[in-house]
Amino acid sequence: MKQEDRRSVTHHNLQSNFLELYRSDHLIFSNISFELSEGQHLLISGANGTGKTSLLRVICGLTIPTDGTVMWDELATNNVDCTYHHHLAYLGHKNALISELTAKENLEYSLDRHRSVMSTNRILEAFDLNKYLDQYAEKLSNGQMRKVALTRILLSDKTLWILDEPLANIDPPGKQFLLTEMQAHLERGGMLITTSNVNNETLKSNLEINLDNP
Amino acid sequence: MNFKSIYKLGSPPLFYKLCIALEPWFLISSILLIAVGMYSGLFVAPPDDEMGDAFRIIYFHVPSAYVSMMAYVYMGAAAIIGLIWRSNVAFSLAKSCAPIGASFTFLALVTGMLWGKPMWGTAWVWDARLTSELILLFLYLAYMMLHLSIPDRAKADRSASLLAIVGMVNIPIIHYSVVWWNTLHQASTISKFAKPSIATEMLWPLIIMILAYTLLFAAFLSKRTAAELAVREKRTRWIQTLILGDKSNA
Amino acid sequence: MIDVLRIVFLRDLKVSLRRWTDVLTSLILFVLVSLVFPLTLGNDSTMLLKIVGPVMLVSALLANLLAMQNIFRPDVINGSLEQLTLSSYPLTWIICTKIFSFWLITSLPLLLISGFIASSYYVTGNSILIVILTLLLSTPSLVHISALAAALTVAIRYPGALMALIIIPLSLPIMIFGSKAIEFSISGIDVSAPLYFLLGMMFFTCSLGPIVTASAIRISID
Repeated sequence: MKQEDRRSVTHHNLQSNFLELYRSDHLIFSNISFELSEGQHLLISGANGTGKTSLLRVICGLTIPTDGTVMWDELATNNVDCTYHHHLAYLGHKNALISELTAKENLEYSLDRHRSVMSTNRILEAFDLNKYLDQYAEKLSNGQMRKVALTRILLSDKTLWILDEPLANIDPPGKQFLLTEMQAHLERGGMLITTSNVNNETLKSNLEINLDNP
Repeated sequence: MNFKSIYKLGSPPLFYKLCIALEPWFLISSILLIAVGMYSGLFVAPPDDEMGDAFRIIYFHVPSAYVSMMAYVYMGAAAIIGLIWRSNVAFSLAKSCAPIGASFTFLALVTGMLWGKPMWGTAWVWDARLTSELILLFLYLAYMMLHLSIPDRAKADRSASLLAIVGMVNIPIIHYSVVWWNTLHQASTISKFAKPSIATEMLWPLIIMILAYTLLFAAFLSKRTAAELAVREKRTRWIQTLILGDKSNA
Repeated sequence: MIDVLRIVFLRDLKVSLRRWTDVLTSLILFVLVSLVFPLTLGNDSTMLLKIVGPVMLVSALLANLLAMQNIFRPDVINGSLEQLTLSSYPLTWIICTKIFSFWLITSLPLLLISGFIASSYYVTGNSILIVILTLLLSTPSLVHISALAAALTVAIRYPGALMALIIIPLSLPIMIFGSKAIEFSISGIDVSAPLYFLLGMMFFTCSLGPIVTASAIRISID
């Protein structure tokens, strides 16, 4: 298996060509093409129900598009040699938290390599989660669960972050912290794809795809 | 082998037209062959030494059983093609095979039971073949229920195709397990269900009926597949011009 | 990759132990179903000896059917199975580990208690070991088949008996050979043929099962 030091100077880029998705005869979106390189942020905007989440899932590879391809480092993502999933961290609507584990165990048992203990503590402190670490995930409030899920992403040390409405359900200090972290990630050479349906509540984007068009 | 022409078969308009064109031929030839087979089977073939006239139900039981198993293999093959090439044509074929195959299986079971009554006095007997047919019926029902339960059609196609392939791989295993289980309860009447040596005058009508049932299956399959394709492609232009004439909306 | 599998295994084990009602479900069902037969049929030792093989296998199957409803469904609902699909590690191995940990939780207790239940059916001596061995060889296959059925139906909101309809035809060979193995050992006939078959089926399902189950999961999560 290819071992790649994520802090090396390899440059990555993500490209999509003419993505199209039909679900049960309904056209969700078509002709989506973009190219994203390091340090760039792609924002997918649109009203509710325009297919932002579906587009995100197609980019991740969870949903197979009816037409078009997604390419990472010039290789199609469904190619066996493609290292796409080594570099990808995805946060969807569901938090991927197991209810029977505590918040701390959810973070411990995650599959991604962690950054240092100092970063973990810093993030937990900023999200004000330290008091809730030993609570079972099902007892946390929605916002707290979201924060734990985001902590997992922030700790995962992956190049490409794909976040579905990251700022939803988070309180203002948390939002501020998250925006700072996302900015820092971009400055480190990371890539970011987010969705939002509130215009002023996101990080400034380099690219935007708006799904509102008829 | 001309791969290009096989590849073209995967195009829905072409396959639809092929099905619609072939279906009357299949139907008519199968009805003719059934008439010939039934006449020769019921009247021309001599009565069996041991079973008398009761054996004549073989002309309905064996073709049904044969078609029911062949239909599963077709379904499995169409499922594999559909999964690899993500072809709507293959998925429509697989989906259409299931109810037809299930009906033939049911027919085989009923004719088997009708044969059993005069033979052994009971309608149902746990013989290897009948039991295998029953399990085949359950496999068809599982496929159909899985397909119906999943609301998204593409997902339903792919999940059900996986099930069809798993079932196809397992059918020989199940059949031979049941045969082994059956040989432990060796009943002398079981050997009668086997067809050791059959006289030629009895064999010909059987072959004609098998061919006739196969053509009947092909007729039903073509019609059903065409209908299924039409439903799946209902928003495309070629279907709309075909069905609505040139008054189709743009 | 072993580290990742170890994390998945420990995590699943921890979660299953915390969902302790799940652990007990298969055990309770197994015990109850096998005890219903002597209670209803009466205290006839020859008849009980005749039916102990099929009863053991059928109870194991029913316990399995019920317990395996929960192998993937909670993880799909909370989104963690999606994350496993997206990880860079092979989904087949992750699913295999998951199924193994589920087998430990649901079927290992069955193995331990089957000896006692068999002796309540007047089984003695070596045959009790054969009962345990038969269950040891047949439950992994049953678990893999049920996992496939669970993966195919995980996207359906109210599957009802669909899982049973998929599992039962596919598991019939295991049921047949398993019950025959127990019957043979009680009558003193050589048990090796059915046991070899069960071993073969175990290798077959345990090797191909996770591959097909992983594909089914990817399709259902789509």
